Amino acid sequence: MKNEELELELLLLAIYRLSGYDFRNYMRSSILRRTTARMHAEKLHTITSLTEKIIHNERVLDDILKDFSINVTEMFRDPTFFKALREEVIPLLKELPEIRIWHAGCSTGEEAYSMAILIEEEGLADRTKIYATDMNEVVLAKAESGIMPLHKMQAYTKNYIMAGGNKSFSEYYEADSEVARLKPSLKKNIVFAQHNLVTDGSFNEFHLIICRNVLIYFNLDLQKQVFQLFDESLSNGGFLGLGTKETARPELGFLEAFNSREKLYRKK
Amino acid sequence: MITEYGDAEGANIQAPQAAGDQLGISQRLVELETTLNRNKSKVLVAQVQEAYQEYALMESDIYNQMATGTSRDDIRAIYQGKMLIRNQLFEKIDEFKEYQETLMGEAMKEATGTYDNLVMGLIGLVVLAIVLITGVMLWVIRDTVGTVNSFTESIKKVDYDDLSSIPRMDEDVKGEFGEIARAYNSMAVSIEELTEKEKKYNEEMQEQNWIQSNSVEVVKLYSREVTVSSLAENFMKKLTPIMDGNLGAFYLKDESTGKPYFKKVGSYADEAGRDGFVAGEGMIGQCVEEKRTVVMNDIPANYKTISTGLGNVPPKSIVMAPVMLKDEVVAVVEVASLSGFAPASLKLLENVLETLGIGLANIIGRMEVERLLLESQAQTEELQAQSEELQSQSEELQSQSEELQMQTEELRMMNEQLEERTHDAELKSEELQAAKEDLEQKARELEQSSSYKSEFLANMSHELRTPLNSILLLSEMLLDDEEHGLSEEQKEFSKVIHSSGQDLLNLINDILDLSKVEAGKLEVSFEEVFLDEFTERIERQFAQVAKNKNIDFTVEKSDDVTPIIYTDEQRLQQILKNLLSNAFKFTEKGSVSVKIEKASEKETLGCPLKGQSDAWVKFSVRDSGIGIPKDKQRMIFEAFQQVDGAIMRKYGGTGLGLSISREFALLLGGICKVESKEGVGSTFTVIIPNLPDGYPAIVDMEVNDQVAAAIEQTAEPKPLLPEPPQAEEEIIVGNTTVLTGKTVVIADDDHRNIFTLKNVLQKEGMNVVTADNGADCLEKMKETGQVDIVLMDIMMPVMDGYEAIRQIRSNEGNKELPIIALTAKAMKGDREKCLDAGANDYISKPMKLDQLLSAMRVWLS
Repeated sequence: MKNEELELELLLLAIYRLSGYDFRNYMRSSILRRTTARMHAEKLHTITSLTEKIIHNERVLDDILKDFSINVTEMFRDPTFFKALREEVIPLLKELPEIRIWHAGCSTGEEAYSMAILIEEEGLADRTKIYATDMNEVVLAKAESGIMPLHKMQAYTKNYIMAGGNKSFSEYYEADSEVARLKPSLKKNIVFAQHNLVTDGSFNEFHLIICRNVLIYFNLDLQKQVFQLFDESLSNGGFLGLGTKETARPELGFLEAFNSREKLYRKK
Repeated sequence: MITEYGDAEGANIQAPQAAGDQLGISQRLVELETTLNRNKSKVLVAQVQEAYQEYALMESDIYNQMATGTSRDDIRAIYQGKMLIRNQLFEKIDEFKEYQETLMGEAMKEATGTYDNLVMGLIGLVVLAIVLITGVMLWVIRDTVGTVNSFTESIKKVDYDDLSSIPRMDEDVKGEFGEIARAYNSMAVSIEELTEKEKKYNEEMQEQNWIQSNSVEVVKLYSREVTVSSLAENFMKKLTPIMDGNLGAFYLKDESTGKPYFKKVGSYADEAGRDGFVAGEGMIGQCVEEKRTVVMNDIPANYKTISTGLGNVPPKSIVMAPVMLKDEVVAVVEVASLSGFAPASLKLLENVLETLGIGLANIIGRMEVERLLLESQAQTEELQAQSEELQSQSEELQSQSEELQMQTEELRMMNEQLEERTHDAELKSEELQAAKEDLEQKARELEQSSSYKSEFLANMSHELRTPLNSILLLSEMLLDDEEHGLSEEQKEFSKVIHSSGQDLLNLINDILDLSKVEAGKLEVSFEEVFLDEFTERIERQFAQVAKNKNIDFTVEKSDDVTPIIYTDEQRLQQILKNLLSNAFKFTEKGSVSVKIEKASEKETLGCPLKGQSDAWVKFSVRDSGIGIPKDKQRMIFEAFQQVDGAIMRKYGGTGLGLSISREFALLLGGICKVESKEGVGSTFTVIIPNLPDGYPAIVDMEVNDQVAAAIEQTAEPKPLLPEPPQAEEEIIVGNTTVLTGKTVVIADDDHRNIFTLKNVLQKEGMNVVTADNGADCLEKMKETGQVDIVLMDIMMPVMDGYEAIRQIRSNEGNKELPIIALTAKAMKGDREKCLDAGANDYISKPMKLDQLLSAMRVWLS
């Protein structure tokens, strides 16, 4: 078991040195699972042999990076969260002359587009900028395309309705037999950019930061570090939205619960 | 009265009244008689009485007459007759009156004399009285002033600051002053008593105050102290000196060991007292048992002493008091004193102990609360830790579930790709099947056309041979020139005609053979062939040619070969003849050899009848000719092919020989192949089986194999996860496969809408069913059967969209049917109602066709 720890440590170091992606402070259990899966896929028996393989074979390195970046997302994921945003948070942002929103770890952009829809319906499109960032350029490119698999759109429609959407969801996309393309007008408020929460710093001051189901992959130290980054990046009275299973650690002090059921926090 | 008697009736009525009057007058006369004290008066009255009686008689008589109805005149007569009597009466009365008036004048004179005498007497009396009174008053005043002075003196002597003894007054004074003195004295007594009471009361108050203030001091401790031991300690320190005590101890009940044990938890100046006791043990134990305070005043000499710096002194008094809480002893306080306890001290003790129980309980409770608080804090922390652990577990679960989701997603992708590939493969397979069928058809056609061709050729050859024979015969006859009429030149021409004809005939024969083989018309008869004879024949046949070309020619038959082989001798001979002709043709020098031997099993591998025969014979024809380049070796077996055109010109021949040899070898169940090296020579090998039972029937599976091979080739797996296609590539313009062939029901009462939608959707390849209203829609759906999607207008007559959607959903089979509601934009709450009714999606009117198509694709995907 101890050896495995060491092996994993070395693997993560190798990945960091080779790619610049630092997974050393990710939740070990999750990393271990995915490493094991990759090992099996490569028909290897030890983590060390996987380390060797990623050093010599770029394809395996790419694969493992893909394995490590979990890209699970939905439009209006957890509809009640978006409902709470719409009904409780947005009204408080309405007075601002300019609203900046940051989707940290936006993955394939579904939530950023959901936010763009929400902002448009609340009449704030002309003065809101949504920054959608992720460390993974591949998913970011996918996000930028605004193309959604057709078979997911039914579920998204349900989510949209439950999140309190006040138009027809079909107004926001065009579908052919293969995919649904979100309306390009939604993109005009979104800036897609690469940003790594682990290694990169604050780049603007935001009134709302959405970072959902990202922290669950980080260990406590890294979580703390990211919270500090959010502290630096939040304006006074700014909001932070986390995933349903995530909690702002009380010892950080700069946040107070705004809607604890929906994991919405506000900077003191 | 008299004036009225003329009226008989009135008199009649008044009769009883008159009788009454008579009676009254008589009586008054009698009364008057009794009041008169003078004889003359009495006589006069008696005369009046007498006269009145006569009058009264007359009056009664008149009344009686009237009553009996006597006439008025009679009555008047009576009345007149008695007139005298009446006058007499009046005279007597006047006489009586006059007499009385004289009497009265006499009495008046007498009374005035008496009055004057009385006034004189009275004046004398008054003067006497005044003299007497003045004397008495002077005497009384002098006596009263003396008494009052003595009273004033005694009152002045009262000390108002000390009312406990008040000087008394002399009670021997007579009369009212004596009374006053007695009253004053009794008042003084009560004032003295009151003063005494007040003093006593004040003392009590003072004592009470002392107790109160001290007990307040002590009781303050209860709320100030936070632990029982510090309370006990400070309690004794405070209380003992107040009580004039010199030694004190505080014992607290401890039930932790089972039996209640009173343990010393605080003391004052205590050094060696008991550390504890149980109930009933000793005096102090007794105090617990009896739940009452015990005061001991006569202390034995050997009792515990109180130490000072200088020595030890025994105490004079000891008090042991239980501390009660809810009728139970919770602690005991013991105090010893050298001087003894004042009652106030004991009262104070009693007082402070009354609330000490509660105080103790409070502190114990507070301590318990504190302990619980600490415990609960620890538990809270533990909980927090656990909750964090749980949270991280839950986060892990979430991430696992996300991973799972992603894996599912990946799996789904893989699945989709696999499906797609399977689909592709299926398509390919179908295509291949079609191609195969096509091929088979083509092959059949080809075969047929080829057989037509061969038949035609065979026929043709036959038809050609007939005239050719004439040419050959005639040219030969010309060449013979039996009549010698031809010039040399003409003879030469005839020779050319003949040899060309011969060549043409050979060619035609070859074509005929080949055609026959291809047309399957060549018949093969398997019979025994004696190889020795066969070899000799071959040798004989080509010995001359070899000699002519000056080439070594050998035929060799090894011993292991079977002497008899069942095959078609004619064809075999033809093969070898062709091969040898070829060999000689292309060999300018060197050798040509034939070798007959047993074929090894390995060599039979390529044969169609491999394994079907026990004996295989190999004929090898080797030459040292020009050889065949490697790339042409396959070609030479094709009909009409030679290595190149130049060769044909040089060596002649039709180029059909090898083709025919190969075909024949195949017919015999064998093969024909070549090994050659350019410039070194060639070896043609024929391997044929021994087939005593003739050619076996075998399945023609060539075409199937080919198809299978083709499928294998195309189904070669693609890489498992191809790079996702770029977005731009994914755009497939005008692709409507999702909608094509699907059935849509449009319910709308606006016919223009229906018309437009119907047109558009039909262009997308959909089956469109239309309905005017909800009820119609349900009806149409029932008729149609399979429906893939419903477009439902909301405001419709007969049955509106909500109701229609609800009814559709109430059918168990339609729970998953996509229903898109078409709602009027202006109506707020429409959407919610649609969704509540069971619609999957809604589109606001007026709709954009693109939006509608997009949504339909989403819900039909």
